[in-house]
Formats: sequence, C-alpha cells, structure tokens
Amino acid sequence: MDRRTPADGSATPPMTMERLIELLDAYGARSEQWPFGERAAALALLRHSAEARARRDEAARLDTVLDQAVAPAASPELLARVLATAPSSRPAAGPERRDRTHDRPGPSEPLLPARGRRLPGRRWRVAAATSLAAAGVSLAAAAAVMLWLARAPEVSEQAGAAPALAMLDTYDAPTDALLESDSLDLTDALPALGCRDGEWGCPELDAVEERSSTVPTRRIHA
Amino acid sequence: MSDPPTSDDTLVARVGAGDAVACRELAERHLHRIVSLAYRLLGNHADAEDVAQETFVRLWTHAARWQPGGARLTTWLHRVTLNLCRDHRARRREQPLEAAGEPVDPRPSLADAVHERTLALHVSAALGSLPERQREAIVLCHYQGLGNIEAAVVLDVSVEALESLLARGRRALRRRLAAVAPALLGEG
Repeated sequence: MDRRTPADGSATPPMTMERLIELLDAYGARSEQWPFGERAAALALLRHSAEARARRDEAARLDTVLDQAVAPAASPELLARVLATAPSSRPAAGPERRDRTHDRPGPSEPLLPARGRRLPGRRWRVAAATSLAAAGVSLAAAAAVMLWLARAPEVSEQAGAAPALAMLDTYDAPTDALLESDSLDLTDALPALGCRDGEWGCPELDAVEERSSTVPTRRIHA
Repeated sequence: MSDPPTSDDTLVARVGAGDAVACRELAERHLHRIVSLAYRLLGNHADAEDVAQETFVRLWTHAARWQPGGARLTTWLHRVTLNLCRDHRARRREQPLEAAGEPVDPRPSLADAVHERTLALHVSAALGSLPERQREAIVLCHYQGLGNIEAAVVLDVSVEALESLLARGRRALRRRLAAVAPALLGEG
C-alpha cells in the first residue's frame, strides 16, 4: 500500500524532516490537509523540533497570503436560476415530458416560469435580446420598403435624373415620407419642456442652440 | 436538539423522484462552494455562475441514476465543475485567465502590496498564471479543502502526482508573490 494513503495510521513510517518538508511544500501548514496516515507522526515531529516548527511557520505565511484571494459568493439570482432548472420546476411540455421528469410543484417551491434546460443564464438573455432587436429591425425595414414602393412614381418625377447624392440635403428623398403625414402634425409630438416656438413651430431645442449658437438651424421641410 | 442533516445520498435520491425541497437543500448546501471553485479556476464571476448552474443541471439530470454509497457527491460535483471549467477555458483560449487578471503594475510599492485588495489581486493573478493542472490542484486542496485522496480522484491522478503538482504550484506562487509581499512571506 502507498505510504501516503494508508487505510489507517497503523502502518505509518516514522516521520523524517525530509518528509515533513515535502508535506509542508505540498499541502501547506494546516495539518488537516496532510495525509491522514502521516498526520500524527508529523505533529509529533513538530512538537520536538524547532527546525520543523520554523518550516511549518514558513508554509503558514504562504497560506495566509493565499487566503487573501477571496471568492465571491453565489448570488441569490443564481440560486433562483438553479432551482428553476430543478426537476419539479421543469416545464410540462406534454404528458410524456411530465412522466419523464416527475414534474410536480413542490411544497415550498415557487412555480417559476417554464424554461428549457440550459436557461436563464447570461447567454440566454443576450441571445433573446439580440433576436428581439433583429426582429424589430426587420419589421421596420419591411415597412420602409412598402412606403417607398407606394410613393415611388411621385418621387421619380420630383427627382428626375439628378444624382442621388444631390438629394441628401433637400429632404425630398422618398424616405422623408416616413416623416410626413397628411393628417398628423409631427411638431405636436415634440416635448413642451426644453422646446420653444420658432419659425417652424418648434424646430429648435434650447440645448442645441446653447451648444452651437453660430450654426444655422436646419429647416425641417424644404 | 436538532436532527442531524440529511445525507447527500438521501437528498439526491429524493431529487431523482422530483422532490423540490431536496433540490433546494442540495443547492443551498453546495452552490456557494461550486461557485468558488469555478471562480478560482476561471477568474470571472459571471462565467463561474454559468458553470455552477450547468453543474446543477447535470446533477438534476443524473439524480435518478445516482448510486448511493459510491462516489461522494462533493467529489462528483467538483469533477463535473472542473471539466466544465476546462471546456470553458478551451473555448476562450484567445483570452487566457492570466491576461485578464494581471495587475496593471507588476511591481507596486510595498505599501500598496500589503493592502488587502491589492494583495488579493496579486494572489489571483499569480494563481491564474500557473499551469492549469497546478492551479487546479491548489484550488482543490487549499481553497476547496479537499483531502489528498479526493483531490487526486477529481484530477484523475495518483496521490504522488497530486503532491508534485501542489509542491510545484506553491513554489511558483511563493516566487511570484515574494516580489509584492516579501514581508508577509518572511523574506523582507
């Protein structure tokens, strides 16, 4: 049997200084970390040897320094996430799933939202937000294309053969249709606070004017 | 007089039968320790919590097949967490722990070094700079408090190999930390 892993202390060889130094180098100064079968002999040597105690103190100083690195505690949110994945909290997608996982509400377990197996984690939340954002962008793009197609003949008459770049500052581009409405005055939606009446209703914000008073205010409509 | 705590084996068996109370008791008993293990191996709290969550998902899944009297639950949890951390680190090789945790100034003044927070950063950085196996051995034995036999089982090495990893790791840590805390290590 390996001398370092005896089933009990009966076959323990006498402790030498060399072996004690090996124990201290590997496990540090805490005797409860030493191999069980060698612990008593090592402690006996420590009682009788000043050199052994000096070596032990040296190892203890490194232990103390290592103990400075404290790990953060598990957050309450993590405990909730872990319990949400527990067998009795798993979603009952159908009778067969319920049978497999023994779904049933526990007496002290709140019924948490039904979720999949690898859930509530950070990656899941990021993926969900990304998917929602992508869906929103897609819908907005589809709406813009539909409006463009509806106004296309009128726009082409206005723009004629002029290069597209020349239209950038005239607000005649077809997408301006998104800002215009025959029945809705967009200036009504501007905030009353921080906005003052101007030539075009309320096209200027006080903050903008304070920041760059020398820059001419742009007209909203040509 | 309070009742003795229910054994892990009993709780796991109850989890296998869908007992929510047993799930909560096991999570409250072991979650903090598993987060600490993952944090010390990964150096990032959010990643550590993700790994800890996955560890418990696997426990819930495995509970119905748990063999009482076999491996200790703590050994099993440490082994699963360790493997998940290795996988996690393998996936993010481009940003190793030592780069993420290295202090800005490798030679701060003694006054700064003895400051608790600064010293903690240095220790974490030194730990993160160790070769993976040495770091794992030190985390399991020094920080997680596993005995040598249990730590050797978790690492799947012999006790002699574990001692070698521990000794080399502690020597490397002492060398690195002597530069920032010589007084604390008795080398000032």
